[in-house]
Amino acid sequence: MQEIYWGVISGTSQVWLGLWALAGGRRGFTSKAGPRVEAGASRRVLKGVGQILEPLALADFGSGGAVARPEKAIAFAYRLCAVATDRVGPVRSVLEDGCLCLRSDNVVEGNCAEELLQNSRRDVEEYFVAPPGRISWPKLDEKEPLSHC
Amino acid sequence: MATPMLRWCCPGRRWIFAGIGGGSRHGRGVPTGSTSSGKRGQSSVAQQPLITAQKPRKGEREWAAVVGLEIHAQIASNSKLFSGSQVDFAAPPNSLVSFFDASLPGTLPVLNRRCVEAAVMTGLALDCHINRKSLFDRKHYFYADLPAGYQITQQRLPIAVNGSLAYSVCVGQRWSQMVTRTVGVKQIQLEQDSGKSLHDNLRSQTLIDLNRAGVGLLEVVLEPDMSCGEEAAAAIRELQLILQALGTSQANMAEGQLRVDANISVHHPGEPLGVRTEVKNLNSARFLAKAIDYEIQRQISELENGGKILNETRSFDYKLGCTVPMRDKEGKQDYRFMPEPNLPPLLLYDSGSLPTGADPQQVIDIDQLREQLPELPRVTREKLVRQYGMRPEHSFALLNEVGLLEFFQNVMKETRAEPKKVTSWVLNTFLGFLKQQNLAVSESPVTPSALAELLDLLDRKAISSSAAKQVTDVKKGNPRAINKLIGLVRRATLGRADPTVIKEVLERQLSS
Repeated sequence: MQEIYWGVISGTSQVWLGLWALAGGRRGFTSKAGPRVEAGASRRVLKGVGQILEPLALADFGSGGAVARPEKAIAFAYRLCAVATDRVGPVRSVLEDGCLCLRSDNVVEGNCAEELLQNSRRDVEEYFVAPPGRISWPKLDEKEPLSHC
Repeated sequence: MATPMLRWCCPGRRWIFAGIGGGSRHGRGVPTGSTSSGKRGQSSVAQQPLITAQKPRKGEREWAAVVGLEIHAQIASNSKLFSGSQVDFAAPPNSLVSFFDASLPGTLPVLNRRCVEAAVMTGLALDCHINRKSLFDRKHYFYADLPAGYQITQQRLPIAVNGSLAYSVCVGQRWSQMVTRTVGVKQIQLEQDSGKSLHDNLRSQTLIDLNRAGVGLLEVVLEPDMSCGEEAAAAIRELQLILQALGTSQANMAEGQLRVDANISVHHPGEPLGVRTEVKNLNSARFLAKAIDYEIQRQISELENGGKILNETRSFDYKLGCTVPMRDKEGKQDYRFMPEPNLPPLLLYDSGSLPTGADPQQVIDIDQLREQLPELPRVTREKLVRQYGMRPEHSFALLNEVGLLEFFQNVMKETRAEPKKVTSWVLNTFLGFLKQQNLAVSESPVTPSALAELLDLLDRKAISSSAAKQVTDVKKGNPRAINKLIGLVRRATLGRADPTVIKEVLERQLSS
């Protein structure tokens, strides 16, 4: 749930910023526009974006509760735009000054199929069984070529 | 419905749609100078196009095709990109899966040093600019073989950019007319492979094996500088040879270690580029060129008939020999890229910027990797041409077969025969024999020493070349040939050699 929430924020923020850029861009924006606009705008944005996000994020925008959280997120994003950010680069990751540790190329884990399969509701001969749902053709076709080489 | 006939105006560059004419599809010459190996999948697609230099008829306009490639190569490493589970092609399902690969909560990615080195080496070999700082991102989509719901990749700032790949194609009908072309390398990025899904038709369910999930991949994006299937196949072949020479990937298409997607569009020269389609599933070396040419032809026919090209994803159907649209009713995919929050930027150094007192295990020096780069195929071929006066196309043929170059060099070490003679014997008689028997060089019953000895005999004119060729007959198990050989040797020694001794010597040589 945490993951989907994060995805929704970044997804909707991106879409919102896109719409905002269409409407006139950064330079024309003043702090006055921020807090007042968001009420109706949130709902409008969510209606359009929600339809796209539902299948992509497996999120449900049908119920009232499910919509309230993203609406608040969008409203918050509006307020962020009141801050002048010209010539200031965004923080893309809180780890950006951190040190990336490298691992030696040794095999130190794995071999725990039994343990992993216990997490699965169904399994067949040590394979996970995928939950029913959309299986898009591109993936199914990937298995064919090996027999044709 | 009339089948359109396509003709190549300038080899590999221009296409003509020659209207209604009935008759056959555009003819393809029988593959001459084919360098496909027997049962190994590592062959170049040697389809020689039928060259008919034709002027466009009145009302006909030329078409130009644009082909770009995205290649995924599995990195040859012991463990995976972000976890310490093993990388292996064949293993019991889900036995090479760690908690991180299964995306269990509480696990974090830790980058494999070997994979970074592989990416840098490949970037250096392809003349890329290596980014001293590169970033990791998440690419989100839902599929059962992607347990995390996202793939860690490098979309914004990859590890290497702006390189080039030189490859050779035949122009003209003879194998000897080769030209070198270049294709730009847009970028190289590190990313995770997904697991495998198998469809169980009997029970209408999909089975998932995560052994492959998390294996390191190098995605190599080639600029749309190519114009036909033959060029694409030649570029892929050269990339395969480079990756194998570097040891960064075994690049075996049959085992799924090298996968290719093509972006194809057509347009009239001088006009803007056309709508492109993406063709996936080009995972067979033999059919790569065919699939791309089919799609080019399909697009031309469609446009000539007043139709439109859709910006869609298609798949190559090997059975039907054509591309088919992939069912994707959801519309355009949106991957919702975001920075990978669990990984800081990847920093690389060179000898001038190495941080003092740093742990060498934690620091990657690009200059050191550059010094350690093995010899690239292009250089090996140039050396062969210089050292032995070999024809370029022969140097290509020697490198095209696993183990053949080493075999040739071992023969050269032990024989006094001329390089030209050795080359001819290795590429024609020896290789021909292997092909016939469907053997790899490593499985050859004829050792380099044996061939060297035979060539020495030939050189001293002790035996005739027809006799020498019969040695291979004997190797194939033809006992009468050995008697014939004895006769020939006797004649060569003017009847002075003892037949029993000859037989013994020959049998000893042939059984080695």
